[in-house]
Amino acid sequence: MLNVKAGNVDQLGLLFERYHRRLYGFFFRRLHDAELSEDLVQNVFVRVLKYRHQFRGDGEFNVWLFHIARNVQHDFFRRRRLPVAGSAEDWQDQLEDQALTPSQDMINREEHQQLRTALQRLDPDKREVIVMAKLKGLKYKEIGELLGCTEGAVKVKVFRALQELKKQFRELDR
Amino acid sequence: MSDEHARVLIARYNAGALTPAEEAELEGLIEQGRVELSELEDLRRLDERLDRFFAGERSRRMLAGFREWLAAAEEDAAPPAADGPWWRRLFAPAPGLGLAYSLVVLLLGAGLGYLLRGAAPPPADDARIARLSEELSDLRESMMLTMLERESTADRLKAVNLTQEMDEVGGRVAEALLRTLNGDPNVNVRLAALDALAQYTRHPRVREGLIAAIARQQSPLVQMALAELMAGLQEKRSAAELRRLLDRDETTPEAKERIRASLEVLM
Repeated sequence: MLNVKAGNVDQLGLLFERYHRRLYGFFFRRLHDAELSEDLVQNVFVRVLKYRHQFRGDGEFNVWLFHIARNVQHDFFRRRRLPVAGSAEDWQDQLEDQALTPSQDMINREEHQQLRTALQRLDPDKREVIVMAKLKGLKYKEIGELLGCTEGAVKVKVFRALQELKKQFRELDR
Repeated sequence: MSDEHARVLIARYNAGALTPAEEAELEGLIEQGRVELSELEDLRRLDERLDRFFAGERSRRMLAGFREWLAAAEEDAAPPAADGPWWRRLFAPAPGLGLAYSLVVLLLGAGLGYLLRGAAPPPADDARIARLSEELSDLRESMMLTMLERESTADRLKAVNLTQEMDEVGGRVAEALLRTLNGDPNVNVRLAALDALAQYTRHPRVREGLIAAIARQQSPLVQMALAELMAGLQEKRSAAELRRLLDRDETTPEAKERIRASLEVLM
């Protein structure tokens, strides 16, 4: 961060890479909205860039960062005239480094490739329901409203999609 | 149907012993909310893997979007080309390029939407879909290669990020990404190129290119990211290049620390 403050703004990308997952988790736990949480993470870093001259460097960067995140959250709730979710001090559990070990990273990469291939082999309608539930974070009821069916029917669609995904996995493993 | 029978069906599912008729019964219970998907062990594990996968996808997308924003913010803050030396004005971004990029994104979205629509297309449409898919793929590749040559950092980042929409990369795209990794003047563009290449490491040419790239990197950020990637891939052939990088006087202490950690994993 001191480098960013000194003018090497490029290095803000490295800070984003290191902290964006934790920040996303911080916002998502409170808002339960994937797209909004992504937007707020970006807002945090816009402020980090804007107020970089205020970073004194005498404390931990992650503490300063999460102060900004809490302010972004408060401003969001105030604009929407909503009660602020979460206690004032409950962000401190976000500060721990969650970096993966190299072997965990390798397992994740292999798993990632396999899952990507298996998902690509699904029928579009099965893939769509998984994407809606998992990437977009929609609840089954919301998916039902979009697809014009009941929540129960969505659960069956998800069940069938996961069954098919499981089958594709077995075939890839052979 | 009693709860006891539901428990029997769950147990038979978890044992892999469900008949097709029982599977239909189980679906009925799922629809009624009497059985939760989390009670089915295989599906719960798969669900957890999907959570990790989509967290990774989201992370890649967020990082790509942030780098584009940062590049655009830096360019907005830079003095306009007209104030600089006369030769810089020759490289001012073409006014139509932004429109062309937006058009490509719109067409890609329309094409992807068409491909993802719920109902299965009638057989006569399959050939049209395949043709559309191929045309979109060619368009995306051409756009990417053109934008990689632009002076604007934001344009070059957008170009690299276009590869996120590609299921596979052809030889031209892979070579272009490797050239970008080794020669782009902006470190964030080089990092984005590395992230893009990391998705295609099952291709031998990409792996060889990444190993060769180690010797060509001056930026500690890219050096560390490459070392981390090699460790993650367990690519032992990279060890020699990593050791040479470690021995260079100009390699920073932070980069050396990361390289040592990667070499420990590789040995």
